[in-house]
Amino acid sequence: MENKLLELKDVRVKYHTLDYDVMAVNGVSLELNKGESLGLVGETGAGKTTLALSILGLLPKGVGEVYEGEIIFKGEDLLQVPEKRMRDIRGMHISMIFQDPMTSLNPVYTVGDQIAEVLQLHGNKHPDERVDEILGLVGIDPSRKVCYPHQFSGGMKQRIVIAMALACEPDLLLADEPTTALDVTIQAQVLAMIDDIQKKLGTSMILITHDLGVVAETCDKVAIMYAGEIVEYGTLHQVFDKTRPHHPYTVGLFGSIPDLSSDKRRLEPIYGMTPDPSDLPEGCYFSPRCNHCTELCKQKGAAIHVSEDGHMLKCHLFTQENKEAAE
Amino acid sequence: MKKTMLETVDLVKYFDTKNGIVHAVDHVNLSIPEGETLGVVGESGCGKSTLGRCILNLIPATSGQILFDGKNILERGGKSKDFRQKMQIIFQDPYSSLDPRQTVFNLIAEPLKTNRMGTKAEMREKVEAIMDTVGLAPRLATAYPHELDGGRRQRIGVARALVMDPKFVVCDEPVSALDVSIQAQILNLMMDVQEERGITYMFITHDLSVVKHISHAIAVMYLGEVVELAPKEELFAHPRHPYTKALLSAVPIPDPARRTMERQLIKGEVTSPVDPAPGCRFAPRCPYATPECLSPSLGMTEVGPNHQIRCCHPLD
Repeated sequence: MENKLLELKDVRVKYHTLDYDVMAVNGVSLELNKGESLGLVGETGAGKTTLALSILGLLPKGVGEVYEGEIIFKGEDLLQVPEKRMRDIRGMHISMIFQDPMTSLNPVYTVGDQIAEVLQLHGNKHPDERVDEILGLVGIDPSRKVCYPHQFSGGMKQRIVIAMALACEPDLLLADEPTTALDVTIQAQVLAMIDDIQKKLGTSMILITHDLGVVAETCDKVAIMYAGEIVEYGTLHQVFDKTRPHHPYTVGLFGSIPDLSSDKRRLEPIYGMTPDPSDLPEGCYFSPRCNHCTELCKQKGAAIHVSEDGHMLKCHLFTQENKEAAE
Repeated sequence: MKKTMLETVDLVKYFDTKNGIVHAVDHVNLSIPEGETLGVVGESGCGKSTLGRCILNLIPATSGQILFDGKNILERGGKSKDFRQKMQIIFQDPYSSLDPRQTVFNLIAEPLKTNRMGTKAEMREKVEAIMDTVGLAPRLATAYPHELDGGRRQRIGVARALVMDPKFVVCDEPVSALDVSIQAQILNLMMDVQEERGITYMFITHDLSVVKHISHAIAVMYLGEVVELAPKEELFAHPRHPYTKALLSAVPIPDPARRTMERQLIKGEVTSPVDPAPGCRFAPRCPYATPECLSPSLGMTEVGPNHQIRCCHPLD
C-alpha cells in the first residue's frame, strides 16, 4: 500500500549482560499507515519501550542490540542507515515523548530555548516565531517561553515536552506513557490535545501504555504485547469487542481492570507473574499462566493466526495444528 | 445499623510554611461503619494521604477529634500503643516501604516484636499463618525484598498490617505501583481478608475504577476538603458536585463505543492550597461558578440519604 509509513519485520532485540542475554523483543512485526495511531499495550517488562527505542536507534550501545529484523520507515531500513542520517530523522521525521515530564526537560535552560534547540538542529535559523506558534498549539501562553521547567506544573511540563516533539512536524510520534504521571483531569486535557494536534498535523502515532482506557479513547489500532511478542493485533473495535475470540492474555487483562460501568464484585486476574525475559519458558511464553494451556503450548510457540478481517492472534487455540491434535 | 468503627470530627491539619499556611486537611467529618470500606479519592495534593496519616496519628492533627471505636485517640497523650495495634497502614510503594536488609520473615514479625506479642514460637506461628493468608510461599520466609517482584512485596506490606489482627487499616494507594494483573490479585486478596475478618478499611486512591470496585461509600476530596460524600452506587450514578462529575467524565473507559460520548473537561489546574480564598475552592475551575460561591459560610449540605455535598449549585 502506498501510504504505509512504518513497517517492522520480525524485529528481535536483546540486552547483553555479563552472565546472560535478556530477550526483550522476540519477533515483532507491525505496520503503520499515515495518520494512524496504534496503541501498544502491555505490562511492565513486556518490551514496549525497548521497541520504541529500537525504532529511533536509541538502544544503549554495546548493551542493547537489534539482532534480527528490519525497521522500514518510508522505504528506508533504519537499522542500516548511518548515524548521521539517523540524527536527521530523529526529531525531524520521528520524535518521541518520554514518560516522565519531570525528568525529560533540562532544568537550567528556559523552555523556549529547549524548543528552539530542536528547530535549530534541523536547520531553522530563526526559530522564535515557530516556538511561539507551537506553544500556542499545546495551549501554553507564548509569553511563558522565558520560564524554566520548575516554574511549570506537571501537566504543563508534559505539554512542553509534546511541543518539543512536534516542533518539526514529524511524520511519526512515539509516545511512551505520555499521561501516566498525570492526574486524571489533566490526563483528559492532554489526551484531548494530542488527539486534536494529531488530526491537525496528520501525524501518525504509536502510543505506549498499560491503560486500556487511554487506548480506547485515542487509538485506531491496538497491539497487545506480552514477553516481547505481539500476542494480539487488530483494530480498536476488534480487540475491544467482547463477542470475538481473543488471546487468553487479552481476556486476562480486561478481567483485571475494575470496570466503572459494571458491578462485578470479584476481579478475574491472571495468576502468576510475567516471565523473566532472561529465562523465558519453553513453548508459548504465556503458557505457565494460561487457563487453556495444552501439551502443545508447552512444547512450541504458536503460529500467527490472522482472521479474514485482519484480526491477528498468536495462540494455539486458533491454529489448525491444535485442532488437528485435538481430533 | 452497624456500629461506627472510625469517625473524624472537624479534623484539621495545617502546615506552616514560609509562604503561608497549607490547608492540607480542612474540617473533615467522616465516619466508617465496622467492616466497611470508605474510599477516599482525589488528585495529587488534595490531602488524602495526609488525612490517612492524621487518622493514625502519624502526623499530629492541628485540631479536631478522631474517634476509634468511640474513643478519641488524640486525648490519650503519648499512650498510643493500644490503638496502634488495632489500626494499621499499608503504604503505596512496595519498593521503598520495606527495609532491604531484613528477610521477609523478620519484616512480617517486626510489628509483633515491637509490641512484644507472645513468645518466639507463637510469633513464628502467627507469621506463617499470615504468609499463608496473603499467598506468600513458606520458602520465601528467608528471602530479601530485592529478590521479589512488586506484587509479592505488596503482599508483605499487607501481611505486616494484618499480622497485628487490626480492626482498621488505612490503605494508602496500595495498588497504584502495580501492573493491572497483579493489582487485581491484591484487590481480591484485600476483599477476601475483609470478608473473613470484618476489617474496616479506609482506601485512599486516585483511581476511580479501583475505588468503585472496593468501597462501600466514597469521599471525594479537593484541596483539603471533602466536597462530596455518598454511598458508592449513588455517587457513580448521580454525582451532585461539579468536581465529582468532571472527575468521573475524565476517566478513560476501556470501551470504544463510549468514545463518541461528550465529555466534560474542566479547564485549568488545581489551585494552591496555601491560604485558600474563602468559599468554594473549586470555584476557579467550575463551569457553574457564581459570586455566591465565594461566600465563606459554605458547608456540607444533605442532598439525599447519606449523600452530602459542599456546593451551592448541586447538579440534578
